[in-house]
Amino acid sequence: MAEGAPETGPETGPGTVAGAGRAVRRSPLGGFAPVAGERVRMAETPFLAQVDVRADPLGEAAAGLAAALGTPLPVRPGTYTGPVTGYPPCSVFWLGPDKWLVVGAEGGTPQEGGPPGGGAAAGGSGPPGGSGTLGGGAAAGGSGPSGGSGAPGESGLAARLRAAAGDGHAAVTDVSAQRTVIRLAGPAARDVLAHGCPLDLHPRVFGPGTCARSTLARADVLLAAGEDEEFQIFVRSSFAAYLWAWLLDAATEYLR
Amino acid sequence: MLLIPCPWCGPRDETEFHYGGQAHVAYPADPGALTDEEWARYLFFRDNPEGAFAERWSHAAGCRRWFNAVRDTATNRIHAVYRPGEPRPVTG
Ligand SMILES: [Zn+2]
Repeated sequence: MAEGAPETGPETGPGTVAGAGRAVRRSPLGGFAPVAGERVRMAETPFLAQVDVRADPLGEAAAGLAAALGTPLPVRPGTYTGPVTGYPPCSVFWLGPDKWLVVGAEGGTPQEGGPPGGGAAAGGSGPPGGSGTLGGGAAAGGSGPSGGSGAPGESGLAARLRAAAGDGHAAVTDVSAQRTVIRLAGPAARDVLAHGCPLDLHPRVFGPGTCARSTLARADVLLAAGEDEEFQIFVRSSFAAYLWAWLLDAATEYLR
Repeated sequence: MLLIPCPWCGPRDETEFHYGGQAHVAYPADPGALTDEEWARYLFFRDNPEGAFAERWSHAAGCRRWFNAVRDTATNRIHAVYRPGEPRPVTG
């Protein structure tokens, strides 16, 4: 989402993308205005490409993926790497000893010759700041990006990762629509999370580069800590509005 | 509230876990040869000790792995956790 994009309602808000003809895609939190307090900031990053990867970390597929990504798959529990910039820029989150979540820009990779996040697909004009056109990659029904044959509707990132896994034993699944991302930042962000998360959120334990699947306000989330007290909260699309409302409530005392 | 040390993720709140009952209950080698009573015993009958008990837990809201723990049923103290396939450690 574009920082500071005008919030003009659910139809044209920053989480909404008008595509060709009548097609309109709404992000799970497209109707909610970002929060920009001094101590707490909150905004959705919609429509990221998310790919679930399962593989033996010592196997052939993992080696192929590491070579393509330019970084080994993180094997230390509760850590993530990235964004790695060599490949389509993406981050790799440890979910389990043989499971990772690879997260990249919408569609996974810009179209050849197109601007990042823009692209020529679908012929639609993106919102201010260009959070993307309707399906930057194969989802637009056009030709998929180079580097793999994707299943219908999946992101270019999934196709590229599947190609990178080669013939090794691995499962590469596009889960982009499963979750959206809430970015929570500011000096009070940790305190807001602590209102409803059982993790030890002390910076000594949960500092930049760490991630964990856990619960926040009893909703399943993947939580990742970045630099400067910025957190990414991956939440299921169907839980996003509930969690946003809960976060707003938890943040009330820090927004005065 | 228990603080359960997942073998992969480290200590996590009990609310992230599912309980899986007694560990090391072996599937019958020849299920067809069992009498109804033996089958019922395999399915439904479990130890219920006061003291150290090897049991299964799943880190359902975390890494989603199953693992084993030796927990004292009287004190809730967890003496050891170990991964599936590993033998039950000797605990004091
Ligand atoms: Zn775990």
